[in-house]
Amino acid sequence: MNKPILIMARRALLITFVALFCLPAECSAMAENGKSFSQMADMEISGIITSKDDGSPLPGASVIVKGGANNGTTTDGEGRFKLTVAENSTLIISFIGYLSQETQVGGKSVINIALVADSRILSEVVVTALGVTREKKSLGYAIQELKGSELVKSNEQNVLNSLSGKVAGVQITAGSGAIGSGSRIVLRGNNSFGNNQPLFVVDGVPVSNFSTNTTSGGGVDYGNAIAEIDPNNIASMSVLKGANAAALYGYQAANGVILITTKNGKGAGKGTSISYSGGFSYEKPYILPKYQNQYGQGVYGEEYMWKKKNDGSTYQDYATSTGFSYLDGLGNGINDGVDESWGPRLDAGLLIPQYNSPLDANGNRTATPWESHPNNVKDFFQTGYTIDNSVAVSSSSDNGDTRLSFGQQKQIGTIPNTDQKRYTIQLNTTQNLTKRLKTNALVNYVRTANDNLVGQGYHANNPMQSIGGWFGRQVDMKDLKEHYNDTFADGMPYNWNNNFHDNPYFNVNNNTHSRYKDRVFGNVSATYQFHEWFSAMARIGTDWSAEQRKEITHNKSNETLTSMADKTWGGGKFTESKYNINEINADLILTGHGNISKDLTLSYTAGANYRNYSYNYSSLGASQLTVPDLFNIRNAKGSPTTDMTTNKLRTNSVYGQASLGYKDYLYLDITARNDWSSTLPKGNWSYFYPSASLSWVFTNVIPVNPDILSFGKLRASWASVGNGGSPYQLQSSYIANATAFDGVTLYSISSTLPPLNLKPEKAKSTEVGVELQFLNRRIGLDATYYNKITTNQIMQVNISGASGYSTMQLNAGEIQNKGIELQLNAGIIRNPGGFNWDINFNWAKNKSMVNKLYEDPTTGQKLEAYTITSVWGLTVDAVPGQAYGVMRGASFARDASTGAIIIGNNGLPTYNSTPTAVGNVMPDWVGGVTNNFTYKNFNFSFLLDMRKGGDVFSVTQWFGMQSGVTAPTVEGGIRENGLIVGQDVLKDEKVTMADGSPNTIRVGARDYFQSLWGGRETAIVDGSFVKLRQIEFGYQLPSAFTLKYPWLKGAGISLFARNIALLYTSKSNVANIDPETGFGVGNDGLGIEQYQIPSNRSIGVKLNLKF
Amino acid sequence: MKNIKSYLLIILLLVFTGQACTSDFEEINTNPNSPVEAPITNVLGYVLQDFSANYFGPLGDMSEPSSYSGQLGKLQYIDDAKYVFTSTNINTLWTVVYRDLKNAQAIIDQADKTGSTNMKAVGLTMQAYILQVATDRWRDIPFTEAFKGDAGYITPKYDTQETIYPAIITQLKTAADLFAAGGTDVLGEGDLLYGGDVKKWQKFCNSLRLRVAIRISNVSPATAKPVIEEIASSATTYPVLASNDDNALLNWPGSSPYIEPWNSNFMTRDDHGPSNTLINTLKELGDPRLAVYAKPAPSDGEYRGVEVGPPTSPIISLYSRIGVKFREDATGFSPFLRYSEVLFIMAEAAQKGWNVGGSTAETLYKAAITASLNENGITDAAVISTYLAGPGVKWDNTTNKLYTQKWLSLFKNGQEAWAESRRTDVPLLAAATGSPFTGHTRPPFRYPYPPTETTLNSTNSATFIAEITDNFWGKKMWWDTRTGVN
Repeated sequence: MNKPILIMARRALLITFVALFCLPAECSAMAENGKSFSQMADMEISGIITSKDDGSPLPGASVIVKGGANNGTTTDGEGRFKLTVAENSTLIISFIGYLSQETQVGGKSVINIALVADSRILSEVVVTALGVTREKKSLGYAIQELKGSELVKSNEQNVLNSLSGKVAGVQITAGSGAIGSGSRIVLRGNNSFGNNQPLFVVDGVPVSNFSTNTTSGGGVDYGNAIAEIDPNNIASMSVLKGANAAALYGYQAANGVILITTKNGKGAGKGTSISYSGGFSYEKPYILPKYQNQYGQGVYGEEYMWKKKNDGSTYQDYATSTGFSYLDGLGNGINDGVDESWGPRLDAGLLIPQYNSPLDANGNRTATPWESHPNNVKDFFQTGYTIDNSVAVSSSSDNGDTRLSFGQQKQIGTIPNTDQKRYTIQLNTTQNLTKRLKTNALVNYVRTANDNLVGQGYHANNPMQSIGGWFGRQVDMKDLKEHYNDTFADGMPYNWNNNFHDNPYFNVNNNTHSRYKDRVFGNVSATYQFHEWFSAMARIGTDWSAEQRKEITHNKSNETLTSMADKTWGGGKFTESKYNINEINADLILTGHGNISKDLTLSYTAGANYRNYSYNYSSLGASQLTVPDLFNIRNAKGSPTTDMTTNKLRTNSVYGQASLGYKDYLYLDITARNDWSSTLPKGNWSYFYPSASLSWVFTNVIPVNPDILSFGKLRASWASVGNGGSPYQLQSSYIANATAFDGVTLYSISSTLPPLNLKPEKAKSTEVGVELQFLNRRIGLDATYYNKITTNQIMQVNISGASGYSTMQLNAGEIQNKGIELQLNAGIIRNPGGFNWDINFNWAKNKSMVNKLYEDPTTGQKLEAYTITSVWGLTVDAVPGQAYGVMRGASFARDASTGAIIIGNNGLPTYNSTPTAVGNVMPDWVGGVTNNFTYKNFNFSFLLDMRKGGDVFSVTQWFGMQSGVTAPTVEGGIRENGLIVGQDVLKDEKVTMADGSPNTIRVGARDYFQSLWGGRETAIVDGSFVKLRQIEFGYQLPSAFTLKYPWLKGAGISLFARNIALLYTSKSNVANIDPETGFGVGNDGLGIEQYQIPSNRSIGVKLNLKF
Repeated sequence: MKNIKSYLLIILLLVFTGQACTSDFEEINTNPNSPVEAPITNVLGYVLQDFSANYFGPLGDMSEPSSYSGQLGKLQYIDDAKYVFTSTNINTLWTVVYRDLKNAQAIIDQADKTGSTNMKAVGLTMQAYILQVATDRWRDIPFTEAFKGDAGYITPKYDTQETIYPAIITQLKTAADLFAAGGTDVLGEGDLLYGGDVKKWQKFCNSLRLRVAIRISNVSPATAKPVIEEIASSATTYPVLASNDDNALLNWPGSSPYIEPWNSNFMTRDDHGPSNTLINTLKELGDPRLAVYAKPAPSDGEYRGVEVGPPTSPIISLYSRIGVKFREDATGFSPFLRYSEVLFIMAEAAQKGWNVGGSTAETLYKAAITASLNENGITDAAVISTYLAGPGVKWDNTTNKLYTQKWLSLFKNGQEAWAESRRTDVPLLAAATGSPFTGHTRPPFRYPYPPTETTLNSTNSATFIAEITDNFWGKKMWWDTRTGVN
């Protein structure tokens, strides 16, 4: 063996710290200066070509002399050029993705030009797997990149939400209007019943998107970890949608990858610069359910019921004797314990004793006017705001570059007493130690602090559960606000109802869920370039976080009652939880590229990865406290509650990629990866999977008129990806109850049945696509068809409880996702230096099918369905032969031949309690349209985001009808006149009596609406929507100004609005919920809406300065 | 090209390194949170606690069985008393039954392996107990293929109650014989019922055999009679509960989350009260248990029972609440089986003319009532004899009084009270007037199957679900010999 090579290799292997992330595509050499043919006086000019968007230099931009045939050059890695030209010549500066610009030399020796991005053309150089920058035309799979500048135009704090409507095939489900809520992102449909989240990779190293799932039943949504990345630090985001693009990332990437590249010191050009970005926005709820304001709290207080009773009593007498009369809010008055609005008519001159009526001499509530407060729910919310400040210092020289940034965000929620503060420090530094050795260190520190995050879902600490669902519509919210810490004479807290709920202000101010999280992530690497054909990088990355959450419930909260009858409380309760998560990734990556022959180029990557993941959780809590409201474990009354979990897993992998390019039109990529996962049984540790893709730029082969078809490419790929699942799934185990019974630990068999011989999950995917650009690239089309089959899924599914288990860890089944993605860009009006109008359109349709289920090898018994999630007896299932996400639940009993709803002898609909299909959670398609207008230094854009289909089971709608708070419960005079099912309600349905005769039975509105408990159909909302997602109006300081004042390198200001309007929602959305809803990041909230915190509209201003 | 060869070698080296690093995989994937095996005494503790928390709690007992049996009504949230049910609750109760049966099976299997005779007998007894509760609730349920998910039975087939009852009888006989044979193993700290007293478990086992037998005594006397007569004739081999000290009561520690379930509900809710049937019966009989079972109405100090499942919510201050002993003690009890029940069963057998070892039905009847009174703190002999001589109580050799007294004694065991009221039709109960299911003459015959059996086990459950009318009626229990009811 060649000795020096070995020494060099050893050196490369030894370097495991500090390093640089080499971007091979940037290694392209400076083009040679062209030779001048000018006859005029020649002069040497130089300059820097930058992007007008963010002032970053543009390497590889072309600078040519107009009419000068061969005179021209391209810019270097820092965007600089030198050229010898005639004094009076004209330069044409062009760069892919930017509008070409002409400028007169006019004797100037320094010419700096800022190019305007051409939004018609998608960025042509993209970051691909392992951080390799590639020309997009060489890729045989779909990839879509977003520039950092697109992410920071508004104050959106969860970077995922910024993707909404911008990338074809990406479905973002924003959590809710609650601060800190997680967002669910799914690329190309749901592949699995378990994890459907893509892998997130920041600067080449996978990072955590940890979230604690809020269950379908509700809880506090602490968000997803990827939201901790400050959008101000993001240079670009690449969305690798399919297994094809992501194959190199292996087992973690079965659901696609989102690659985030952060900004570095090079971006700001040579020398030192400071940039500042600041934003301010305010937020208000923009979609609130529609409530009724005609009847208040109580039962059977409808005018119809009074008329029906017809005993000669006045409506006033009837109202207080039957409908509602307050005594103690515990049920001792007339229906004063109920949290329904089926009571007496409001604003009808009635006088009724209420919780806030003055007391008479005997201590009884006097009767006071029974009046509506139409804005009471709206009044509960406050105006929230977001402040975002980010300062970055960048420096770049021949020896390296450094960027140090500090970010600070503060958010105040629309729910009172909710907030979030986040501080981010990022350091990205590259040093060229020698000509061949580069080191790079990238460190991020993020601190997230929440004094309180609101409870969500069907949860006592979600104020919407009471005021938005189970409520007395007459209640004055302002009165509750003024007195939330007061008590009544009998000792009960001051509230409109003491039977079920806390005062909503007591709730948000006293029952808090705080969180403090410190996170450090980043990597260090060293790269040694031995040769063009051989460069080695060693890199070690970590993602470490420590998080503490404390959930406290104050004494006298309803939950702390120890005897409602005796009015005693347990002093309050609390749980404090700690999460420590650490992931280490160590990689050794070898790369090289060059020409094999004149027409054939090769680049390769070979690497090895070591990944170690550990998760530690512990918690302490007390269900009662000795000294009230002292939330310390030593103050616990009775046994403290404790818990502890540790998870560890390791994988080792080797992988390789080879890319062959023939001339400038045919490209072949081959990848292979082998993983060894500790989570699998011994014989199955190792698993291998390959991928291949082909790209053919046919317009470079077949002669076509470039004015008509400027660019055309066909691509095809095939990939296989494996997944090793979660730890500790190989054996059944015994689980101890969280608390010992009088010192005796209670052990039971895990309710999850383990799989027998766990095999790795496999996803196989094929993809074909076409990219076309017409009319000198004014119109661009990118279309993809994919077909992905996931087999041997490792997932937890519900099984018949009669098996002795509740769930089964499955290792079988087959889900298929087929879909089409379209992106269309059109430059409608093109006038460089004048008015421009561009449209970007994206659209995706995905169809998930469940092909196969599990069949037990010994008994032959087959699973009939998987239940993905369930709530209130409504299940979201996967049934073989049907689409993923069938919603099943009790439904109206219908006549088998006519489909008419059968009405019982009491005039009410009858129900089938055995579940039937009532909807499907998967949308038919999702899409988005961006319109962008520019005029000189002004730009204006707006984004429409839309979805067709995708049913939602809305608990707000379902219970809102049963509790009589929503608008449909009063429409058409039904509380005054009663109703006939089929005539006054369920008008679109056929109804029949059991004997076939028509229904003529008049019933009270409460009786009808409460009967809806029996079925789920009336709560299924078609999730179609069209939303005006974003409007942005910006102004960039002209370069003339910055040239005049060189200390100012750039300045821009933009006004923006996000979530402006819900332009379309389905007729089935009678409660007017936000159809785009979700709980947390996992599958539990799929298709379920439970008292969502209303989504917010955000309006603000953003300022960007560069010095 | 020489260089390239060297690089390829390095790549191969990397591949090799990757493979070599699996040495500690097994250790990494060893679960540090949960053991593969647990001491069976702690599993026994789990079964007892889990079953009690659910089947003697607000969900599994108070709101539904205790109201179907006519003992409790609801003051607020009256839906369940009107048979407006929450399907998720049914899923939960179904799952609880089977997970407890499964854990009981683990006790049996583990005890078998280690030759722990006593523990095996305890496991068999608990499993039989739970199985009877399940079949009395749902009638036909998965049994022979049930709780065998780990053997591949993920969609277990259903068995009829007609076959399940004989299996319970056989299983309990096995347990009784194991107890009789005697083992040396100790039950350990997980015996939350009897604190490790094997003798009491033996009595509980044989008493349970009596309960199972008497339930089918009308429909299958040929099966029931020998069981009861065998126990009655061999008191040493098959002892039964002999005093209130032997009562199978699970006593709760009283701190969260192990608070007596009725009390746990009472802490935050005020939803349940004794029914008008219960209060009126106690009043008519001049029963001294009235003040133990109930508290007077807050409004006027009267004992007044609430109607079970009326059309509209009552004004709650007008009605009695459940007695302190039963609902206001965090360290209270969950009654699995009580001494008085054993005596009532013997009395009924004696009245049928079966050989119960010489005692007359009347003696046993009086002893049973006395045991129940004693259990409720009524020990004054004069009070007891006055009560026993009262016109509504005095033995007249009819089943009506016997059944009424048994029903009264079963207070707080809603599951058993509901079963007995269905078997005996005493007291005579009507369906809730507020029920959305019109036209029924009796409270529920049975409990709806959980929706999960339709979504996850539909092939096996479909024909059984089809036998149900309006969720709660339709095909009656095998042992429910009432006629002309619906």
